Amino acid sequence: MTFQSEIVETDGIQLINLSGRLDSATSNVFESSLQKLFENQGSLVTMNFSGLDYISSAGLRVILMVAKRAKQAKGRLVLFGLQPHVKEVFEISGFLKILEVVNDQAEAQALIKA
Amino acid sequence: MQNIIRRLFAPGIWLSDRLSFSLKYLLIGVLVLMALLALSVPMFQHAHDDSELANVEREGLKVFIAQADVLTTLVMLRSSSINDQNVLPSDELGAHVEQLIQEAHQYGARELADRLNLLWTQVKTESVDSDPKRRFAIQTAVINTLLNLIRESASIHRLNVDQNLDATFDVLTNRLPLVLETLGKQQDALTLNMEAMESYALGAQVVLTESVPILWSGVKQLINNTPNSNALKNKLEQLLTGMSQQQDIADKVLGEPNAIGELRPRVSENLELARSLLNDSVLIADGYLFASIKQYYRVQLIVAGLILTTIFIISYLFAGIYLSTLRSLKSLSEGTDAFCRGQLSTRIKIDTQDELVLVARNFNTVASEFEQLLEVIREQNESRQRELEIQVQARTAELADRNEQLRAASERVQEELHLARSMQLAILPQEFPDEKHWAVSASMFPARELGGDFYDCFLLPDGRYGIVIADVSGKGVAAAFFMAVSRTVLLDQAMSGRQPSDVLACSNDLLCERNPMELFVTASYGIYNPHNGHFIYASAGHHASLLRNSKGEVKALPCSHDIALGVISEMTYVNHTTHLVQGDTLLLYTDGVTEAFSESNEAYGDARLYAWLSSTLSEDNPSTLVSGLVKDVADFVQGAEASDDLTCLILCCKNEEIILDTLPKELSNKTLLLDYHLPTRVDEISNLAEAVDNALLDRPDLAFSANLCLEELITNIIQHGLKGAGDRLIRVRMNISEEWLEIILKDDAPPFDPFAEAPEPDLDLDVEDRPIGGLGVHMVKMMMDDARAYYDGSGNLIILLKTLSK
Repeated sequence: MTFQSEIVETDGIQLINLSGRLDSATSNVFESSLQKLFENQGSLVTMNFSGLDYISSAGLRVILMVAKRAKQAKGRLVLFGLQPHVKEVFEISGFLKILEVVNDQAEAQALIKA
Repeated sequence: MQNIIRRLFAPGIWLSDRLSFSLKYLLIGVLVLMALLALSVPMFQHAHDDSELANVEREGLKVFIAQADVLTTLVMLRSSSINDQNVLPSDELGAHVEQLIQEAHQYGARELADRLNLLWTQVKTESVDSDPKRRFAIQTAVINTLLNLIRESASIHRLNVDQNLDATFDVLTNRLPLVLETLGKQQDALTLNMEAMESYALGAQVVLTESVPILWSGVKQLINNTPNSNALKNKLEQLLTGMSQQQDIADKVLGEPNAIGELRPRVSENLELARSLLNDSVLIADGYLFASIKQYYRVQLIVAGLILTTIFIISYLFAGIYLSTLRSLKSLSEGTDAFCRGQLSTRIKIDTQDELVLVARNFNTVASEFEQLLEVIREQNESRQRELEIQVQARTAELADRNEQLRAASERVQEELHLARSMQLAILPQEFPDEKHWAVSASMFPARELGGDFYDCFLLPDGRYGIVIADVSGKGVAAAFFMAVSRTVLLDQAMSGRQPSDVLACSNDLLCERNPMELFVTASYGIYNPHNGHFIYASAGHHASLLRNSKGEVKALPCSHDIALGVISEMTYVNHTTHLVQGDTLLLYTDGVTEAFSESNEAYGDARLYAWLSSTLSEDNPSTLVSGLVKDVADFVQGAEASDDLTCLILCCKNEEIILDTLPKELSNKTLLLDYHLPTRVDEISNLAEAVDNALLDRPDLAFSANLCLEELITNIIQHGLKGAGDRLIRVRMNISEEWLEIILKDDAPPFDPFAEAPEPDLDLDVEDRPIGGLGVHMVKMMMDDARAYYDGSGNLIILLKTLSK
């Protein structure tokens, strides 16, 4: 099982589509691909988790790093489309309290523009 | 201009600078004297020469007198021997002639002297010859020779070149003798009655006539030059008259031979007159010469006198100047000398009118002022001295009082301190666990009455034991207070059973809250689990504890140097774990052990501590060891005063088997789902995940949880337990029963408990405050119903249980 991510930009919002497994093996690759994210102040980023089957603490680490950078750059990061197991992981780890997580893309776009 | 002069006379100036005053004056005096003498010498010489000359003339005159005597005698003799052949020269005459001859030899008329001698000998031998003519001839020859001698003698004695009487002496030594001879010869010739008489008489007359003016000028010269000599003139006139009378008679005799009888008395008279004139003149001339000589001597004396007087006057003046100057200088020098030696009342008195007076006056002024100044200073000093003494006395009395007060206060304080010390020692636990397979002992020795170190050992609610060693900054009462507070805080926090890192962090915050004295305390807190030998510990600024294994090898336990407690709040600490097995000895200590100084200022040091610990035996019990360490340090210190509190705590694992925890109740009716050997590389985990998914196809939720937990734990094992080694194997087994899913992980890593290692994450922190790591193990604990780790000697065994109900 591999991991893939792609970044698409529409309407000034960057959308990152994730798929596969985000574990300790693949999290490094993911991290490198997100280097340029939030370089500019006030960037808006949404992450699509609907294709992600699995996430471990390594992956959570990467998500947290991106979220910190977002806050420093005064940008916005909204996650959506989490599968139930993945959502459970987020809940256990307390990430739901600190990240903006919604159900689908529409909600995400609405939230981020607000 | 002055410079030119100075440069011109530089050598002279240089010489003068180097001489003392005495020498300077002496030099000038000597030079003046020498100049005077040099000038006067020629004068003396001149006068001396003149007198010498006069003496010679006088001598000549004396000789001449003798000669003239002999001459007249010879003339008389010739006359008398004309007629009488028996007339012989008398012995007296002979003696006189001999004397003349001798004298002539002496003054250098040798030829004439010899001739005279020869002729005289003839005269003496041929006087008995009968021929009167012959006799006459020989005697005449003698007389002629004598005349020559007289002339020669006068020349030798410089009579004929006398300054004033040259003509006189010429008359005396030349003319008059010639006149005498001529007269005599005339008389004798007439007596002989020779044929040639006429011519002879004429010739004689010429001589006589010729002689007259010469005689006149000579006598006149003498008269002019000498006093009281006018009588000579008369005598000369008489002689001249006589001579002319004689001439007349001689003329007469030519015609009348008988008149010769008148001639002889006349000639005799004339001879006598001539002789008398001669004698008188000679006397007067002699007197003149004598006076001359006297004159010369007088001149010499006068010159000498003048010179001496001049010398005397100059010397006198010089002496005066010298003495005066010297006296002034001496006064100055003595005065200043005396003043410098301390006689401040000396004043220099100089009453001359030269420049030295100014110097003396100035000196006196300065001396007076200096004396006054000293007096003023002396008075000031004395008054200050008295003041000081009064003050000193007052202070001394004050001090005595204060000392007494201090002493009393000190005694009170000492009593209080002793009480406090007893209390402090009572706070610390005195009894320690002494179990079958492990034991603890500890002690603390304060440096002063009260110490700042402490140790602690207490039972936690979950059956583990907490051990503490701590060192408060400083010593004494303040440290003791803080020690009590720190101990209470630590104990309170520790009782929650949380990990050492948490305990330390909370204690730190609490201590920071109320710390007005800004003290801090280093501490090492560990939790020992007697059941499995686990030891988890954290350190707040305290050095590493030492562990000695059963082989006697000593090592320092890994220690992260977190900050001491009480410095600043909200600090984090790091846990470390290790495993104590049988035969291990754990030593916790404060730096009072390693920094115990001997009298030669040498520290006990780490090396000695290691050596001591290494030398202990595994069989020893902790209290023996504690006493042993204390003694070893005491021996090293040897009586030097303790510089720091000495505290140590020793935990020994006895050589009894450590009983591992029993595994939880075996699952009944369990089925093996998976037995997977995973190579210890992170990228292999996805393969395991696939296998797990396949084994739990009907429960994807279980699979998810299982995979998550496996990934977390395996990642931990690889990173921390195996330190990244990728060549090992982890065995993963999954069993399932009716109610439980069991996951078993087995590695061959050193003892490592992931559940104790990781700090509990604070889930309430904001995004920016959440630490990046630490989630994995937490999720495992959340997702599994039971999670335990064991070390079974060959590796770690992790058992996870999850209930099957959703």
